[in-house]
Amino acid sequence: MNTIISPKTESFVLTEQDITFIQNVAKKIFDTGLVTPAVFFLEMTKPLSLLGSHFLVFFGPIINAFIRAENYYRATELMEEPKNVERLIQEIEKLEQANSKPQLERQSLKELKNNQFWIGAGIVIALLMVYYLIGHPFFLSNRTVMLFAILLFSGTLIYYTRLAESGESFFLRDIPGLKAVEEAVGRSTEMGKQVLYVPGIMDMDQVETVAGVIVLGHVAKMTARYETPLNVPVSRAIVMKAGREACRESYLMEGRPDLFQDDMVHYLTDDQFAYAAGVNGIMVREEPAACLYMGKFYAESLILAETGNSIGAIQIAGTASQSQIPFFVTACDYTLIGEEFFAASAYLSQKPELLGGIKGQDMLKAMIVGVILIGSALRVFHDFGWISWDFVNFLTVQ
Amino acid sequence: MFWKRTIPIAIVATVGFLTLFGWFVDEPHIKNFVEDDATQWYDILASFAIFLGALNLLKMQSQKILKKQTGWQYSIFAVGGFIFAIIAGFVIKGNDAIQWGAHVTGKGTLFKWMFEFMFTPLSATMFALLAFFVASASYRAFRIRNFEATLLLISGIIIMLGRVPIGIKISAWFVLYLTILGIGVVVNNAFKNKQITLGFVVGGLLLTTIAGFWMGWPVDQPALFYLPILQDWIYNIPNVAGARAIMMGIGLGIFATSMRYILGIEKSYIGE
Repeated sequence: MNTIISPKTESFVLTEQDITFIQNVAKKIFDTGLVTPAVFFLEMTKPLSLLGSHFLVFFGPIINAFIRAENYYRATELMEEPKNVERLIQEIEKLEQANSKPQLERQSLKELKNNQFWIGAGIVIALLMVYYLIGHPFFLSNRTVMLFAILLFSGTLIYYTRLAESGESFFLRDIPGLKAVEEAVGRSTEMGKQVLYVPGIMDMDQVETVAGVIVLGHVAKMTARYETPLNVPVSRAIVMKAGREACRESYLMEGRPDLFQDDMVHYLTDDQFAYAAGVNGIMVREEPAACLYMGKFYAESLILAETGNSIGAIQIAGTASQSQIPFFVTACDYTLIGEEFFAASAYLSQKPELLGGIKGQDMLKAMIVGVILIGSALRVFHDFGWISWDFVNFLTVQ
Repeated sequence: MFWKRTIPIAIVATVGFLTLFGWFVDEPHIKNFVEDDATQWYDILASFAIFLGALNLLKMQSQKILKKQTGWQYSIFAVGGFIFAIIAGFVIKGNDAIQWGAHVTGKGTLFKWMFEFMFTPLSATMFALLAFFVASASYRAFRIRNFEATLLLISGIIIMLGRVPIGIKISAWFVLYLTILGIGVVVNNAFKNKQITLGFVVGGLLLTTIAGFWMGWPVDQPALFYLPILQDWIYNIPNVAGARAIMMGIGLGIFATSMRYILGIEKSYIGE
């Protein structure tokens, strides 16, 4: 009787050949550079390994007609056991650890990332093509222009990110507010006072808050380096946890985990004006030498900034809340307006992939300016009756 | 690494792509998830997360009181307010006719009393501070230090006057006279010649006076110098143009930042 369809006993012993087979499969997966998605997939499907194995057995004759895989059925038998799938995962992880970044000989990290990118891009394109070929069910065709715009914008960003990762350097103008962050931390260190960081009053579902937490990580690196006390009062519990993780990692990376305390990032209240009152109280009592406001703000922005001004602190603000920008501009020493705030992470980290993204944004702006000019001309021609096509209607999101 | 880095990035990527491309499909389940379920899940998570924040607040304020650190007296109010809110919310209803849950908005309950007579006045007090802070910030912003500050001051005066009843009464010819005198200052700085300056100012004032007599001194003509029309133009044209430019930059910044999170390029929010 074929061993594949015989009932399995509890003690399924792996032979040396089986172990070698698993190691070969692990090596093949590692060579493609798809370690992370493969491990992810295997972890997810481990409980269903029996079902998957029977599925492979069922389609065995068809699959074997296209690819001559020796020991195909032995492989399906092996992968029936979740323990063997776990063994495969461990072999892949062992290979990854053994061939860590400094020891990579056969393939540089760049080539691996390149492979991963093209495979990922190929999968996405294939999925989109399949979706289109099956008749693109449920697709709202009046939003095609928007979909095309998103794909074009994303493609531009990805292109410049990869260009930066390949070693291309880009010119970025200086942003005084970002250069002043290190000066502000230095000033606090000299005066022996703390740095107060306010990451906005909204939760982590806002992009500005996430950007604020990321900038907090960079500021925490500076405070760790200069041994400056850092005080981060927050308005949301989830922001508190995220901020703590960011600060903890930063202090760890600077080699000063001893200086990190959980209570550096502490919760005050969810309420807008109660939070403003709490932060004002901290400013007046603790008298920080530097106040940084990075995130989403509403009416409390001027209360915070004016109080900070009254205690003589250097103030740097960054927000994408359009209505609050004028208040910060008048009350703070430096203000990061709109996209400068989102570029802060790239400027402070100097990571190539992030700098490439900034360049991509600038290219998108140039594209938008071009579309505005061409669109204005086309609209004028339409209004004069020279052309029948309404470009503005074409671009209007339905 | 797998659970601390890979899983979070995978969750962000999956939900991010689903939300992004879910806007383009009319499938009811996806639309329901994108427009309803996803935000509700977040609200539920945030509601449970409030316990973390509340415990942290209590811990820090209690430590301050016990160790008698600087400003510990204020912490008594913080802890006392917290306990009072817990009692009003979960222990003492104050009005037995109202069900638990509805008591937060029901009349005659302790919670409602706390909200109306403690919380609301305190919030209004903080909000009222804004009026004074706006005045002090305006005072600092409107000082004539450079060209931009001067432009801000002049446009601020025009908009403020144009929006109040007295602005309707100010004749456009008065504003025109002031404009000619202002341009005279610029001409003087440019040419540094008294004769040219005098010629320009006298000529300008004379022409304006002749035009005024000829037109019969209407209050709202020339329209360009009539304050309500001028403030309307400043508010609707250059102000909106600048605001839209900033909005476009913000929109692009949000798009690029979101794409970085979804594609896993930016990983700082989960720690490097």
